[in-house]
Amino acid sequence: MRSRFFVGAILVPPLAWHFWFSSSAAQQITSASLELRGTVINSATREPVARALVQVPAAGQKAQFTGADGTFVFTGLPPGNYWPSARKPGFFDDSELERPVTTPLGSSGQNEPVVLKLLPEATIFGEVKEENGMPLEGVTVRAEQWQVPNGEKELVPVGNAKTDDQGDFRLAELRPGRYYLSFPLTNNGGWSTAYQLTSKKQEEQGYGAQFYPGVPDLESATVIEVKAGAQVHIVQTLSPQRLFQVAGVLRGADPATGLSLTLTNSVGDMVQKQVRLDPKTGQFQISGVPRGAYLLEASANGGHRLRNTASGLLRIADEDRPPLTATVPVRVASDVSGLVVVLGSGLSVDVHVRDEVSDIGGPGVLHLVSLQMRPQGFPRPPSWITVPRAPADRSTPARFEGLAPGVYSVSGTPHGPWYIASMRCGGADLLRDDLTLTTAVPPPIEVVLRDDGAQLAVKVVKNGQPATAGLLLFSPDYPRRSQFYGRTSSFSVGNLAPGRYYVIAVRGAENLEFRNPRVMERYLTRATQVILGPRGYVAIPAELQEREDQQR
Amino acid sequence: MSALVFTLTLLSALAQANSEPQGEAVYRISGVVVDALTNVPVAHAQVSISRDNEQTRIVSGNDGRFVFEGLERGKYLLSATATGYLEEAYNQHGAFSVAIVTGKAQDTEHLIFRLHPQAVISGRVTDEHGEAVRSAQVALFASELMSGSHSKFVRAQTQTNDLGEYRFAHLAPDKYYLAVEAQPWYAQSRLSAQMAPDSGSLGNGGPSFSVSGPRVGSDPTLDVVYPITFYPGVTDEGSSAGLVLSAGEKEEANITLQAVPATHLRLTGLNNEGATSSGVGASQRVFGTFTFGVNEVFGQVAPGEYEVAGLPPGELTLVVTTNKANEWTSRSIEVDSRSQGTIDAAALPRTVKVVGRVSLPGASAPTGGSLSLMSTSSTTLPGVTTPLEEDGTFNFSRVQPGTYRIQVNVSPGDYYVQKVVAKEAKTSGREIVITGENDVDLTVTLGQGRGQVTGVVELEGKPAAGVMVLLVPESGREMEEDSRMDESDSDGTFSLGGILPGDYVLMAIKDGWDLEWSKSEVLRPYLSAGQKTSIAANRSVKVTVAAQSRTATMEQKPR
Repeated sequence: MRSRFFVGAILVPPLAWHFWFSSSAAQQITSASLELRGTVINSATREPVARALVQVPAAGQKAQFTGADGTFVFTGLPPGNYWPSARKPGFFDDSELERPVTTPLGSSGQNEPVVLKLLPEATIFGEVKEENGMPLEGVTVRAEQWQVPNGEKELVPVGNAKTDDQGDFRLAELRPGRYYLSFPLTNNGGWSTAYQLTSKKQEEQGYGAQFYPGVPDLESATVIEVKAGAQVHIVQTLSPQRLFQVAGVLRGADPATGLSLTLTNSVGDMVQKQVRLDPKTGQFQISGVPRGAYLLEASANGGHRLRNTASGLLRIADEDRPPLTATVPVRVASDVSGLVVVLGSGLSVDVHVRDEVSDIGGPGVLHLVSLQMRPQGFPRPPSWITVPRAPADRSTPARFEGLAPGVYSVSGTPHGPWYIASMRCGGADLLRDDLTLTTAVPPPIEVVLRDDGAQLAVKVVKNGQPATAGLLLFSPDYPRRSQFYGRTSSFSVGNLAPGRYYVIAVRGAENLEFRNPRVMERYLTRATQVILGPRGYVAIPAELQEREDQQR
Repeated sequence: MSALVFTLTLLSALAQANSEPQGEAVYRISGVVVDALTNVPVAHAQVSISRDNEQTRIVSGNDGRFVFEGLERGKYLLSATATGYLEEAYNQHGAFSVAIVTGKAQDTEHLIFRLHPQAVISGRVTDEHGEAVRSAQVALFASELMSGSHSKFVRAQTQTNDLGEYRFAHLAPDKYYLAVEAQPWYAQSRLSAQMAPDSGSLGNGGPSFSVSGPRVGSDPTLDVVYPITFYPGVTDEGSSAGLVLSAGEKEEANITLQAVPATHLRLTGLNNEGATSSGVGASQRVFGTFTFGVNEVFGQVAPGEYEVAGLPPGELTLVVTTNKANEWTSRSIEVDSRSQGTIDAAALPRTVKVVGRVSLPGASAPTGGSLSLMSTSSTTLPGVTTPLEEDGTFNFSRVQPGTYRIQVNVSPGDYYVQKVVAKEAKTSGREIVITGENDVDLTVTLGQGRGQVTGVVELEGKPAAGVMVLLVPESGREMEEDSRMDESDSDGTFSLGGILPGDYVLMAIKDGWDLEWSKSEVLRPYLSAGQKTSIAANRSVKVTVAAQSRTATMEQKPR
């Protein structure tokens, strides 16, 4: 007896699994065995894929390799729903995007072979050479891509390789897309430090960070369009350039207690190769710096004490005193001298929480929220704190410390069923605007927490039929409240701050800048607008839209 | 001169301003870089000199010539490299090289830098179907001569790329061995049963468990591993073939991996009552000096019983770690997964208590510090460490039988283990052998301060550069740990530091670099012409030592 099978997605909701297990178990006893046959193909070339592993979650034989013609056959299966999946090195299993989510059950009729598609990886490979054609060894090659992990565009490294002694590199396992290649050229040999200034004036040559095809910045870089399965060959010749020296003096900390000095470029790589520092005077020289914009960061180890304990020397952090640091932007186009870097404890911003949450969890339970301050401009690590502080810790106020002047975006994540009703710092509404810190003492950040949030349930439809899409909630008044809920057919979310929202269902929404009002504008006319009141509940359908821009 | 060490951080402890008076910068270091095989000049070689962490780099001309000018008097490390060549220090032997000493009457301007063309081993790792094995770990081994013995040590490690290819460049002439560790990409090793999470243990208080049937993926065709495979495709390290490379040679070494059924082991009799967490790690040793981690799966299948799946067949080390009341204990079990299906931990040699006391010179007790027992047999269980009590006593509650080296870390102070006396254990120098029959009581006496030997090597009455200088304990014990080595610099000088007080023999052996000197029969012919030297703590001895020639009677090790 032959039967017809439908192929389901790999990512099935847990409920569907449950159905499958119960139904197959029941039918196993009574029914005759069936066959599941099919082919695994390369989705770019449509060619069969040999020696791919195909697995069918079922009793009996569950795994096999495709033959030279890409075919497979499972025999002796009881009737039921099956989700065969295939994989093989060099391919991405993107089948879940191509197939329906729900799977009907077939028990009779003709056996239509299943076609499982594997998306072939792309590879960027090539050589890095010197001007004289000699290979350059040990050069880092990085593939980078614009991604939108939190609704905001970010250049994300997706692969990196180092050239070998022949100057060769390979970047495999790339999905189709648009890539930038960068050659960060941070020094591979590590850093060294000397405790003696040099008066030697030597014209140094070396390499600076570059992007393909040999340009100094991302703006002038050429994007490499990579198709599925493509093998892209790149030859990059790097030209040495004049390197410069950055010199100055450190003030405000005793250099003899230990100092560290780093120079970070605009993509976040440290470039300082040799640092000379006179421990007596605090004078420093950083040599081998290519032309460009940098952030000079200095920090002192003075905040630590050493204590002799049973298990040896322990370094005890002096918690009451934030470490002494300094952050100075430096633009290098020639030798830079006479920088005065004053170390200090940095800026601090107090955080006050007004808890308007009714007693969730009982009296005395803290309604916590994590706050993050992310520096804008130069890529630097964000600072985190969790507020409010427990009563026992309140001798010191909740505050961000050791901050450098600059622009920050502030965001918060509630730790329970409450929401951030407002977050302000002086005149700045942090749910809307960035926070700019100058050297003046900043006012505290005031956070209001409430728990009268609204609940929203959404079903995705297309022409009245259920559908699957990326679901977004866009807040036109507070774009930073916008959220992406992933690819789904329905969802329900609570603790939403009351207000106006657009519910947007977009196919391929994964990389949408959903916190950027200019990008979202084009989706609003076909989106469903909802106004959520305190403790409100709204259930609505959202009509599926297609992605409007080119960039995928 | 020994190799330069670069400091990475600006710690003030390392801050040492050079106190030497600024001399006149009138000296030069110059010469020519030539191919060590053909003596043809190497064009565009990168040549550098460094001193006090300051490096100056230049590129040699078309004729291979290089000149560093305006140098002060001092010792410079000279090194060079070029595309297709090794990166070498001048006259380099292992970690040692000839430093160039500038000064009056020093000829530093006619140097011939013999640069060796690099040897390369590259190849492809494939599976039994001829398909590339990605991300395979490839380890390159060679004998380490500089420690005076011929054990094979790992020299380099890499991973195969998406084509299954690997490449080791910059190799010096030597005999090399290759080992590959990888997992079949489709491998899915699962436990045959697993204890359910602690759900039903409320009723009678005893732990309950349930056994689930075979799960998805426990297909036997997928329960496979690649055994560690040696060039040219053998799984027994004794049958591995060496690749003999001369300077400039390129060798292709392809290796095919063959999947075999994974082995499963059961560990019973593990007393883990009250343990909050337990873990089992597996590893496999190669050539006795290197350890590959094994990607095993483990789980508790019954109270006190574990199953470890996904193991390659062969001799393995299992390390079982248990956390009871915030105290981690671990014990290692050597197993052969081909012959053992079940291991009863209760039947393994019992662990013993090791107690003792550390005393400083003058019998006083150290204030703080720690004592470690470092296993000399197992590289996977590196050792145990315990803090010293205020009276200098220490105690280990569970120590496995084995041979251990005793290390004491007492700070501040330049202390070393001078003497070890043990009750119920054999000792040899700083090592003890614990049999597992009795608890052990140790008395560890520390010494303080180290000595130094500096001097000049002479050959026919003149300072000689590039000669191996070797200082060995006269007793012949602790040869590898207590011996010191250097290479004489361009003015014939050498310096040996960090020497434990005691009696030594100092030798200078011309062309002695490949001597397996830790073997007494190899060293014997040179000892008689050596200079007996007594080293005292915090003292420096200055000597002139005459270079001996390489003894012709010595059997030359085949390359």
